[in-house]
Amino acid sequence: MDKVSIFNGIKESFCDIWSLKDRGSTLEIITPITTSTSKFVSVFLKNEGGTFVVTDAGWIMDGEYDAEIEIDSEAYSKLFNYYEHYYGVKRKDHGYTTMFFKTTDREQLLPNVVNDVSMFIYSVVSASEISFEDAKNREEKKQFSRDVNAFLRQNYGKDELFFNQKVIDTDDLPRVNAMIKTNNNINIVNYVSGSNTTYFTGSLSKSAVDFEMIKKHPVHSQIRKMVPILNDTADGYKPSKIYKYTNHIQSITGVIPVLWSQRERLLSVLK
Amino acid sequence: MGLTIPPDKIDKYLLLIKEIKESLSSTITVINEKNNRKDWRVGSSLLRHYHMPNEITLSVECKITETDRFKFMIFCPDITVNPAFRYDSSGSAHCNRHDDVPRHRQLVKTPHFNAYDEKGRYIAYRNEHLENTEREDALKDMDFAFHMFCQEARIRYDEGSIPILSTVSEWEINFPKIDTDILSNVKFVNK
Repeated sequence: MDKVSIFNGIKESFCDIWSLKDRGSTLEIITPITTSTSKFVSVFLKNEGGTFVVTDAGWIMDGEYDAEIEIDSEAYSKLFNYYEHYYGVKRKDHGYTTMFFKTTDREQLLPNVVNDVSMFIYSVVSASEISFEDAKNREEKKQFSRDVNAFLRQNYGKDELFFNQKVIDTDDLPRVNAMIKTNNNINIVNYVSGSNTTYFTGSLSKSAVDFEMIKKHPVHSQIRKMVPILNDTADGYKPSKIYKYTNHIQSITGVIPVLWSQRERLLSVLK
Repeated sequence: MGLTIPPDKIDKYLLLIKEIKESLSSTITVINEKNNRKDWRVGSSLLRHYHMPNEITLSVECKITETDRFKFMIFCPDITVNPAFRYDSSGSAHCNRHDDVPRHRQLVKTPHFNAYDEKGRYIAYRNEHLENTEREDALKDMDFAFHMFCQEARIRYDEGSIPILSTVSEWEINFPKIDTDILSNVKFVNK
């Protein structure tokens, strides 16, 4: 057995995968790392005034890795934040997506940065395939979100409606489920659901904290109403167990939460 | 593991792919906004297969801020909820992660087709048009690529012609295209 030749064969097979795509001033580097969705990780390199930037170019959030990134899921977001912190990547909101990046001023250290960004992409994409949340809850939340989106689309024009975005692009504001922008007025709707009481109160609490964050931010002066819409057809909706949370959210927003079974009320609240 | 189609559906799948499918529309208008993605436009047409009564749809998606980013997909929900056949102009390289394929040959860069093989495994491949480096630039044109896709996927309009795409020119006014350099107008460093 020629050990060195075997080793060289393995090494060359890996090295042969490294490829590049010229994209003008940006270079796409295809790495030999594969996600569990069977995609090769690509990173994008750009020289910005002497600083090298290495980024995923928005591909994680854009679904380019065939992964659905549920950043709002409690367990997954912990994992996501862990890898984000561990690899030291930063976020940049751009257009309809978020890009993750890392920089260095020294060309010599580019392999380090390429490694960190690639491993970050690999980690968060592959982990997104694991089902942390109870499947029933996940499905119920998705279905509720589809239903409310469809209801809002029926009642507002597509130029007024924005889903899953921030009021303004800044790190210290959360994304909201829906925003309705009319004549310089912004209305916000957050969706609350859950397949059991724990999930339901969790969803309510998250919504309450998001509203509080917006309320403390200068952007709040542009906001007319913030309204939670509660899925009262969900198994987790138990009025006797969640009232302290609904009272709390009401004290923040000044609006009685809208129930899905009475969704027409949402239209009059937002008028 | 990766995506697969169940063994009892493989024959049906091969029938879907191998035979001609006729588009009910001669022109596919790519105008509707994709759900939750205001920077993508979608359009579709039903396809008729002479030996399959099932619902088959041809779907076209394109990103209005990138000239060379588009997808063409055939859906047949009776076989799989995922695209049964697809073309990606750009985006991540696929890994045909099969035990019998040497590591460096598992890489299939975009543009590429995705289909299922005779074992029901989801694979990516490039045909001779995609391997032809002289065509690389031409394939960045959506109309050209769509024609090539219809030939590969055996999609026709009546009397053997190939359907065409229609897009709306106002995009170019509202959304300046940024060519293939996807980072050209993104600024990361604050100095």
